[in-house]
Amino acid sequence: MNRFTKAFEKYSVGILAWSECIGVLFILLAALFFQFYLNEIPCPLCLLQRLGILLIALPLLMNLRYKRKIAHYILANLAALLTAGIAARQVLLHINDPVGQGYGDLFLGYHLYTWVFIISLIIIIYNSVMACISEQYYHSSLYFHGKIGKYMVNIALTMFIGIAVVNAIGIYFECGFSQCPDNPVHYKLLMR
Amino acid sequence: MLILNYLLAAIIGGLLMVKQTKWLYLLFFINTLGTFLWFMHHTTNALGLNL
Repeated sequence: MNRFTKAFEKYSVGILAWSECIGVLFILLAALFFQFYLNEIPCPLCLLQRLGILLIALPLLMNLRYKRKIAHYILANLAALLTAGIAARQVLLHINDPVGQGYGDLFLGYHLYTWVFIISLIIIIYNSVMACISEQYYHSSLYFHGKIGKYMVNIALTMFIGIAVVNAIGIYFECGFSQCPDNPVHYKLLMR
Repeated sequence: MLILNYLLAAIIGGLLMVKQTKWLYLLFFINTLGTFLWFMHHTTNALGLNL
């Protein structure tokens, strides 16, 4: 077995876990792109869905920082179930109002909340399948795989914290400390 | 006060970065429960139930 194969075996499980996290965090980056670049102000249900996706990312980050555990997949599935429920409610709101155009712009033919629903279901299926692969639980986490592993985990964690803080600041400007309006058209604090 | 849930998520992320503790699981559950309660609050308000 050459050096490359050995390194691949050592890092493959960790890199897969890292890719899962980055994939989930990428959804939130896309949401921030829609908010700040395309100027789509998120509705209260959209904000709840974003929080749900952050909660999906959290147990996956625990997989990176701690050992990979079946409990982390279950927690991620719990958060994904909640996110799917919130997205399903928004889809049902749209179905209940066929004259309305739904909230926000379309992306590849679907509204963003429909995408969140689809992605949540995919995450539930993916996590369920991944949790069944028992070999991964014998590997140590990426964080303990030398300097590069630690660096990669810290990148994912910094991304997570950055996204949470940027969203919190966005909510503060959108709604202040009160409940967000159902159909926001401007940032409340910037209109004073 | 959805902002608190986001800040709690950021705090959990920060703790995860510096420390290995089982309290993070509790904080995760509190955050998930908070999100669920916000969702229920929003839904019942929209239905006019004001629970």
